[in-house]
Amino acid sequence: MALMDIKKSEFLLVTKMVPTTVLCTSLIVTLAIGVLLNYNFKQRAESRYKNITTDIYENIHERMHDHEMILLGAKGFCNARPSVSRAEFKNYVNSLRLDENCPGILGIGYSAWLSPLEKEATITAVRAEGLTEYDIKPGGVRPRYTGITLIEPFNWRNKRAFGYDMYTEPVRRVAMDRALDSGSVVLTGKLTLLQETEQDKQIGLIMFAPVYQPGVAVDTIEGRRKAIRGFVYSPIRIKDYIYGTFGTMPKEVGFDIYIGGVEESNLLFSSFESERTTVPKGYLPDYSSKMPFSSYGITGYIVFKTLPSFTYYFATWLTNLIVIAGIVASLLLTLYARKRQNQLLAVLSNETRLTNIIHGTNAGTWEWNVQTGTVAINERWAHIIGYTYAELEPISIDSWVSFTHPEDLAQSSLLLEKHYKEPSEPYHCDIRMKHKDGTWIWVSDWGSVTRWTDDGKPLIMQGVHIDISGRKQIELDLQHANSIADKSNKLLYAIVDTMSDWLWEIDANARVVYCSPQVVEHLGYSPEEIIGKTPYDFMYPAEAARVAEAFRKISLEKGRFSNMEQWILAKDGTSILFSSNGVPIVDEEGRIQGYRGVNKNITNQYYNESRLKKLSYAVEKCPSPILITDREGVIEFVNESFTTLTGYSETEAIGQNPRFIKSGEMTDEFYTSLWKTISRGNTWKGELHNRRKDGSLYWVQSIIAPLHDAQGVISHYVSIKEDITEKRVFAEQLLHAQKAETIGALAGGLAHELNNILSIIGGYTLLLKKSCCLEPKQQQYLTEIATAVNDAGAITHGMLAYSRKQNLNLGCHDLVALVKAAGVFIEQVLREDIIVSKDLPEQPVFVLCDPQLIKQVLINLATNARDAMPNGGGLHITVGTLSCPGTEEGVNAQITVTDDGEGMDEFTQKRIFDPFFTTKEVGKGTGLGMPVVFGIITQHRGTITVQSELGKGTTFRLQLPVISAAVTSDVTDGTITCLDTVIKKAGSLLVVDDNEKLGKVISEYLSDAGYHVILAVDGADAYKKFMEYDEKISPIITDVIMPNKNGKALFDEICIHSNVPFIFMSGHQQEIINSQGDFGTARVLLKPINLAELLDVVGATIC
Amino acid sequence: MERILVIDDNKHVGVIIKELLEAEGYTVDTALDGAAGMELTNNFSYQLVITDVFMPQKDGLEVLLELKKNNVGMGVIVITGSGPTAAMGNMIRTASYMGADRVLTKPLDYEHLIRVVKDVLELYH
Repeated sequence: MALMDIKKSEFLLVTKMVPTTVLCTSLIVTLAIGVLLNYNFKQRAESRYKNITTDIYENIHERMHDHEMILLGAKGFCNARPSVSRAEFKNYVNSLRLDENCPGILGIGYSAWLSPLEKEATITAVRAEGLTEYDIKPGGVRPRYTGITLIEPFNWRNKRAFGYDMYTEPVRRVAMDRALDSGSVVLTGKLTLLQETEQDKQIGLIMFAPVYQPGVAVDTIEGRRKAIRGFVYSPIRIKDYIYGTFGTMPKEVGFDIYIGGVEESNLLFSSFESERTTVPKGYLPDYSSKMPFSSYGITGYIVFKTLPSFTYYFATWLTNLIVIAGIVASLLLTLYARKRQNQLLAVLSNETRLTNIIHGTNAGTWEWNVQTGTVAINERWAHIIGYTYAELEPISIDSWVSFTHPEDLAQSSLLLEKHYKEPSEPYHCDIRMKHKDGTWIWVSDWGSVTRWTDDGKPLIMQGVHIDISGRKQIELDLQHANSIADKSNKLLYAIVDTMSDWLWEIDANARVVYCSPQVVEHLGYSPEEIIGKTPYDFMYPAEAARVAEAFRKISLEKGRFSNMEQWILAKDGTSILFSSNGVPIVDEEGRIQGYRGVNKNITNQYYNESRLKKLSYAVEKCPSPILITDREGVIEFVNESFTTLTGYSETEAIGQNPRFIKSGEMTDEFYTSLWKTISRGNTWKGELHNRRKDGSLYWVQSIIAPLHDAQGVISHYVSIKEDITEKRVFAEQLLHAQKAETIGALAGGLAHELNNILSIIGGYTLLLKKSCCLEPKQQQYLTEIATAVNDAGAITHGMLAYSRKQNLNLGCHDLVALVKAAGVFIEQVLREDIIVSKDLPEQPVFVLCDPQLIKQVLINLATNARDAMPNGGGLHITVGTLSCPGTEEGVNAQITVTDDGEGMDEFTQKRIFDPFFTTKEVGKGTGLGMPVVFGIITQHRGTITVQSELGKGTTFRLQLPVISAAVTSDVTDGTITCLDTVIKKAGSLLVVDDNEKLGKVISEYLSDAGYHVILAVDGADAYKKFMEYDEKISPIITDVIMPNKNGKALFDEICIHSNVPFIFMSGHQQEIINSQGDFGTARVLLKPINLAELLDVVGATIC
Repeated sequence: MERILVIDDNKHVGVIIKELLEAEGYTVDTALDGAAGMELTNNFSYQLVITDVFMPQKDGLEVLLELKKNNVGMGVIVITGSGPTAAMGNMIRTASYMGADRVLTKPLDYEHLIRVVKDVLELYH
């Protein structure tokens, strides 16, 4: 729109009025400034006052809050432990550095809540710590005691309170009750602390936090009363506390703190007592106000009053000064204006000036005749929508309408209407206009009616167009971004809501500030119950310490963490394992403001994993070999026992088919049936004969079961085995032994009867032979009969030997010596074409055996070897020891007898020890030689095995239990006597009898029973031998009536030297024994001696 | 002439020993159990008694005990069941302890028996 045509004369008139206008205006402005300044000063003073008082209030409040946190920390510390040791508590309190960080807080203590019984126990316990003067004060009988048991720092001031029962004092008691019942931190009313002395006495307060038994529900008052364990508390000296809070007290505002109403008696603290804040007499504060507070169970007021320094800063003289200065300035300005008036008029042209202004604003201008619809615009108006002024002509309101976005027209009309009604508010509407290039651009359309028709209708409206496309675009972008953000927020919340994990955010002090509602599903706590607490409040102390330490390290590096495992206690007391991920929240200055992240409940996973771990460990370590194959029979897993049993390592076994351990001893049909069973989904049980890596065979009892997958299809086979090789061998041996036993019993009985018959046949044969008148031929027949009877006798003898009814004459004998001694007999049974070689150790090998029977064994084996070597050969005998774990001694003695004869097939080997089994021609062998060997060795608790190969020869291995060196070191005369493996021998026995035969019988009998026996023929001989052996002899068994010193004389004589026990034997009447005198406590046995009784008596004297 | 008593429940054994010893010039009586044998000892004076152990009525060891208790001047030879078996081993030992002069085992070697009889009679001569 072209600049309005203002007539120059009009403009000049205005210009002439300028100096006057300037004067008036500046005076008005000055006055206005004065008023405004005054108002402003007042406003500022008020706002400053408000700020200062708020600061004071906030400072105190914050301090209290910090204090509360310290106390809650101590509470958490106590809560986490069943009992808190003095040292731990001291460390904790020291770590807070109260004197540095919290001036005014005298310390932190713990007051236990005690029954009379507990009181005594507590006193005893504290005294036991070396604090021998500890007592709970004041004395007296009360149903309930509280006693300060811990207070740190343990300085002289705090020691004054140590042991004090705070519950006895009404002010403290009220606060304690309130803390107990509410479960929260509570402040007492004003009081005097025990820590106070006469000097610098201050008002005190105590802050209490209740400590409850962990694990007890404290959500009701009753619950809390039951669970109370004590209080963590902290005494405050209020003056130090408040001064400590501010460091420097505010200079401009002072304050009083009242607990309760604003009365002198309720005054807790007054800052006016401070030197800096003293008030001169007669000073009236500019402002004063009071602010109520209610926290920690107390209510009260803080009353604020401005101080002189405040008044100084906001004094009104400044305003006055400014007003005067303003008036002076106005006058000067007017003078100046006059002087410059003419110059200005000449220089400035209104037109250019206005054009410049409008051009400078970059606005398109318009003037619209509302009544006619004509519109005038400037060039810029056209430029905004991409045209030149010329291009748009002729311009009317319709041109504007045509360029304006149809959607915006309605809005525009509405706003115009509004403007017509309230012309004081300018018309403003953001509209879209069509640019020449086809795009829509945003234009801010401003305007107002400048002239009205006489009847009050708008006539001329003037305004501007400002291109706001850029701004609008930003707005739109922002809006779009917001909507996206909003959408993603919604999405995020939806995710948060649907995910089972629990999101959290903690502040720099690890206090939870946010946690998603899912927490209740995991812990049973609602977010409200958790917010404000630290995660450590929900952990066992050890776990809390561990996690806190780990977290401390992470947060030091401002690092993020993932999969940090932590056990958190749920509300019901169960431990839940969470895997935590978190990222630090860092402010602009790089300080950690907290962490946020997500906790995933992995308790089930943990237990499943540990269960799986346990199971797999069990399978791995299971003493039974276990093998798992896939459905094709390819081995996927073998356990340790399997590798031990088979000799194949895990890597050798995996990937193989189990047939690689087949022995080849079992038929194909067997395996086919096995596979048939298991591939039908059934379990197969049976015994398998398999081969080890080293080629040896073993038996296993096997259970093979198919495993099904989720679809019920066989996916794997599991085979659990048990090595039954030994069991089978044992069963075979047992069977053999039982067979041998039965046959033995039969043979024994048979032999006995046969012997009688043979005696008769032999007898009559002899009688016949002795009778005369027999022809030589008849004599010959009788000789044959006699030979047959002798042979039969040998068989019955063998049968009896086999029946194992031999009376073993056991003793400890050196096998080496026995083999050497048997050499002569062995050579007798061998032929000259058999060469005997021996490999004997130099050291003796002692075994418990009957030497006669061992000789018999050697002879039988030699005979067997001889018959196996009809064409001659070599016979090799060795003696040695063989380590044999599992036996008592760990070693066995071993004799081997090897020949290089014909050897035996497997069948013969198996039956070699069966009685009457013989490979020899009829009449050449009894079939009892090897069974007798077997019988004898078995009776000696030994074993015999045979190893033979056809054409190569045979080896018999005999093993007998060795007698330990400890026993053999006792050897006297090269052998010691013993019974079974238990050596009863406690010393030597002295047997005295002039009847040599009787002496020998007793001696033999007792030797058999394991005693070493010394034989003496009369009393004199006995005395001599006793003195030789001295005290090694116990007891002495003696006849009474003997030549050359009788039993009684021997007894009397030996009693002088020793209290060796005596056993008397007498064949004479009681009177004779009695006449011999007193035998003390010695036993007297009457002849004929019952040997079993004698053995008992001997045993009794030794015991 | 020495008189010998043979006690054995197997009459054949008695007959054979009797024949053999009579051939050697001894007077021999036989009894089929211990009780009968003891009765004979009351009627006749024997220098030697040969007795089996296992017999009905009174067994050989009882016979031995009674004989040795009453008459020290009489030899006793005990014949036990056969072989070096456990029971027999004990029997041999027990018998000799009880005062048997010799203990022989079945099947009897009669030639040996005759030699033993001579030895024992020599002892009590």
